[in-house]
Amino acid sequence: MRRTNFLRHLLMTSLLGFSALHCQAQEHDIVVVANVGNTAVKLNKIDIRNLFMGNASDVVLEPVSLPPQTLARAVFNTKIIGLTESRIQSYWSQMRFSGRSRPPREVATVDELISYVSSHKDTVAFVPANAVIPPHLTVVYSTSSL
Amino acid sequence: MSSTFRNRVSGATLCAGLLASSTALASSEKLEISGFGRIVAGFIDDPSVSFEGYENEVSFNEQTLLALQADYHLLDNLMITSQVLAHTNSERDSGVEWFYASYVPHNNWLIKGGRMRTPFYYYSDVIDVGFAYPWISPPQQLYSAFLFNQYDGASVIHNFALGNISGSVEGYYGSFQGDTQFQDRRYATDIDGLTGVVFNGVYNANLRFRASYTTADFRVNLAEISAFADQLRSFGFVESANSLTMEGTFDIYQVGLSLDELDYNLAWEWMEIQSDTVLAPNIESYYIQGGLVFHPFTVHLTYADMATNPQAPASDIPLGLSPDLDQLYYGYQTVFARTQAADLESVTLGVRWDVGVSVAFKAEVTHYRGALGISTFEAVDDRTDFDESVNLYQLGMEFVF
Repeated sequence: MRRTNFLRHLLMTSLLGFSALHCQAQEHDIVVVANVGNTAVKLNKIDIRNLFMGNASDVVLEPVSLPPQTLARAVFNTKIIGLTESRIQSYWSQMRFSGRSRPPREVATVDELISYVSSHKDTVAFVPANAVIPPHLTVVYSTSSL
Repeated sequence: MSSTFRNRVSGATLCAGLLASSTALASSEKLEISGFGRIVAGFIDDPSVSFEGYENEVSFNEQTLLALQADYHLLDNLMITSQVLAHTNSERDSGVEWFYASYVPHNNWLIKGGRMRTPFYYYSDVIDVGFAYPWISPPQQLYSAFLFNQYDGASVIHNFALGNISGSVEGYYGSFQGDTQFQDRRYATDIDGLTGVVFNGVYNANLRFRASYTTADFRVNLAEISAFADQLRSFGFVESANSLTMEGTFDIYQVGLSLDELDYNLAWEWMEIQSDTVLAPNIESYYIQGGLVFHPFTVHLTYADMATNPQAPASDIPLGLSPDLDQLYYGYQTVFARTQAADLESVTLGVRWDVGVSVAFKAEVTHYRGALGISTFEAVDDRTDFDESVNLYQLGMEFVF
């Protein structure tokens, strides 16, 4: 177990980049926001994993993602999905080329992502914890509360 | 590189050109082009046999390929998909691998019809997408090309969620007319009444379970053997003749389990093929694989084993009555022996290096142990000094776009 924790730490450090260590702690946290019109909704990690990995889920929301090279996505992969970006890409190549499911829609920046979710009902996305979130969106999960 | 490959590649380029020009006509939202490819080099260290096309000299031609996929959205829930593949291996068909329409009548339902890949095992329908799996060659004991890999038919997939379990059930039905390959020979094959059920489950989003059952009627025309079987039949040795006929029903059972974590993965898959013909032996295979992730490298180790259950030859040709009959007897025994499969055991050590989000380099060495047989090793130039042990070395580059 100790080895696993060490490896996780090593992975986190290498995934997030050493320069990120100087940033505020908040940048290593993300929040998952949804356009559901109901502030009481909370999702757990498994719901979010299922949504973003194309698995069937009790929660029916359209996931929207940031591009692979972004810090928020690296945090999301590490803290919520629990897989490296490489493994996720390999998984999506299997799903896509066997015609089973497709990766979430991607938008280029956090601002565009928030704007997309704001204007599309029943969408869900992850953004850095320090991003400004419009009041009509619901924070359904936060990594900092762990 | 052969001119045939250039022709195929130019064919693929042409297709790409056509697809690209149609992009101009359609809105970019409607047409999506993607693709994958691999460049693989390999050799075996034993000059007395060949294995999966590999011999004792470096070859780039066994697994190198390029494929393009076009997805055209006719409606929000109706899509046409085509996948065109160019392969350097002359034993593999280049051309349209997939061509189907998919319809989503409801969020949890997917209906597909057309030409598709047969989903026998976990990676069967993406066997050419090396980027999707850790190895260069997935365990041959399950994934060898001795089964047909396409079918024409329909498939219905239903997705469901049940607490921490997310799953899907797929049922498919179809047929296949084409060639199957045993080593470097191809045989006309008819598959009818192909029926399959696949269950996929995910627990906690990282523990995957897969179970499937497939059955079909099959007929393989083994030209040179059929002629001999007809001769036996004309002499009245029906049992011997029937034992050289590849026609009947097969059943395939499969179960697989895999666990993916940030820093390691484990996978196990088992299958059994049962058939009611003498010539197609019952086969039981499995592999167990473990990988450690040292991002961006993954080091993996796999043990795989295939056990065949050979059938006894027919015994209706008498021995010792006349020289002619004796000749027929030994002729039959020789042909029969040549059609038998052999057990195969292997250990693979490999490394995958993900250099970017869409390119990976791989290196692997596999140690095989097994005898000559229809789906294992083939003697080169009738050499008889094979010690039933071979190392296969491979280097590869995988990409998707």
